[in-house]
Amino acid sequence: MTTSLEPTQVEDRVPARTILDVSELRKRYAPDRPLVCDGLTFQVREGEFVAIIGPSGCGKSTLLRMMSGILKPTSGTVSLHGRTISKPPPEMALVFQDYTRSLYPWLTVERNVRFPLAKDKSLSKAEKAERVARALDNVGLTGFESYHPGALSGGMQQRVSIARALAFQPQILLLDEPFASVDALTKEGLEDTLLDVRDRMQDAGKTMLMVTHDIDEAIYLADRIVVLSKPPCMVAEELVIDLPKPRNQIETRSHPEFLRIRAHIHDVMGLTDQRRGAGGSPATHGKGH
Amino acid sequence: MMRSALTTRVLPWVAPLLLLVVWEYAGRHTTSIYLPPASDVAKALREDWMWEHTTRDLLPSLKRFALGYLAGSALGILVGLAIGSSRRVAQYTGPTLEFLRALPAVAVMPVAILLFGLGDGMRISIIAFGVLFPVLVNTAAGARSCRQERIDVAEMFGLSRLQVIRRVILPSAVPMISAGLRVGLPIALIMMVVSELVGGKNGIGFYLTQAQSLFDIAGMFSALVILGVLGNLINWLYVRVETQQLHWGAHL
Ligand SMILES: Nc1ncnc2c1ncn2[C@@H]1O[C@H](COP(=O)(O)OP(=O)(O)O)[C@@H](O)[C@H]1O
Ligand SMILES: [Mg+2]
Repeated sequence: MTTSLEPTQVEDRVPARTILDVSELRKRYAPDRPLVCDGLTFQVREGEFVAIIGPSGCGKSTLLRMMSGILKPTSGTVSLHGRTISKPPPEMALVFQDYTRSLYPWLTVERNVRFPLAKDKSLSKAEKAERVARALDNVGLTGFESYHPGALSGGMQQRVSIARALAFQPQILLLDEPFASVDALTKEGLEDTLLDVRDRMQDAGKTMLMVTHDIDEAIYLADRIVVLSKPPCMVAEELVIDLPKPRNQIETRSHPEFLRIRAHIHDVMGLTDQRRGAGGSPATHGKGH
Repeated sequence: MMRSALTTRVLPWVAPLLLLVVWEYAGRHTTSIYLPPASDVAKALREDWMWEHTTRDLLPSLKRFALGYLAGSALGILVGLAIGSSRRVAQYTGPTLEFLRALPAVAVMPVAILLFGLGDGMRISIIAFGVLFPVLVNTAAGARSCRQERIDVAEMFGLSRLQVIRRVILPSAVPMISAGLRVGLPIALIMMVVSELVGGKNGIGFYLTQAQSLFDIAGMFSALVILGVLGNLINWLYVRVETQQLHWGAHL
């Protein structure tokens, strides 16, 4: 098997059309604060699972908040189906990094998951109930409808917040380090839940974009990985993951290709630092100016 | 086991019973008319408050209390939410509210009399004014402390600003609002009595002034007993409702 790590070949390998286009995105939170994102450019194609990895604090959450329309970029654009995003689009849902802060403790699990449907007048009560039930079933939480989030474990709470995003039936699901604060075993379970959910979803939601700082997780889940540099972040490299599917925690992770990609990413993330320190080099594929 | 149950049940009653006994004894043996024995007060309670003055004075008082408390709370929650969820509104209104808040509610009464006359409108607005600020300040603080992620989630799902306030900021602020509402209860009770001391035709405050001018000292004491019981009853009711409604507060 040959896997190219050259970004120029990414286009040939994924024929689907571009759904999200991130172009020259820059963010500075305040005039006196340093630049967080420095000219991010990349595309997401329909049906892809893209993982974005980068060191902690490099601006990954900032990027996702700009992509989902809740944070205005200082310059640059994010477009969805060719239209620039200026407010949160109904085609997209974001699962936040910290579930303890993003779930509503005064609502039961069922009402948390129904929350995004509340203002949707086109749906009948029965249709809403059906969507909520299916979303909960997808993440294996049937039977916990009447619990309050505070009564559930961390992994279960994160599944509630994934179910909430699924009930919204977005075309694109953005996930911000969803498994960063659960233990290793729960994490593997949740990763497989995510892959299952993706395989089972018919019309909406096949496209996923997940931010993580865990290299192994990115390789295990993704079709393509976008590696970000240290802050202010730019795209350091894009690579296609051509590991066989369906993926499996034991086989995929011990596949020679898995190990090769992993070594390569370690190399890129390490080398990126040195090269930035040396003033940049043509060998990195940073899209910044 | 038996003994500890007995002591926790019985001990709290020792002090009040002792007080009653001392009061009764002192009342019977003093020459002063200002300290009627406890039994005289009990007699006044039975004769006046079962049920003539309960319907004539207590019920109108309770009606004013309820209306004033509701009006003050509702206004406090509304304005508090507006202030707490918008930095701009907070900046415009901040100093004015700080000034108004520092005014003792009782001192506003002459102004209220000029504005509303000596009727129930004045009384209800005075009670509302007393309740307004503790509720408002607590609501604003509660709304301000709503975590940004919670607001972001709602905006990401396309909720409008008003929907965000109603469905996210308001419930986030409920524990603080509830604390403000509780602080407002005794204030409303005080303002109720004070507002009835002037120009009234009925109410517990009016009963007090009447009893005082007739040197009916036992009657005065009986009104104080009624007020004490009322205050405790209202607080007890409030705590019951609060613990029933706010069971998720621990997870906030
Ligand atoms: N709301 C904010 N206001 C000001 N600075 C922020 C804000 N959010 C994040 N930052 C800053 O932006 C940088 C990147 O943060 P973030 O996007 O959360 O990184 P990551 O998700 O990669 O860990 C950090 O230095 C952080 O301090
Ligand atoms: Mg982050």
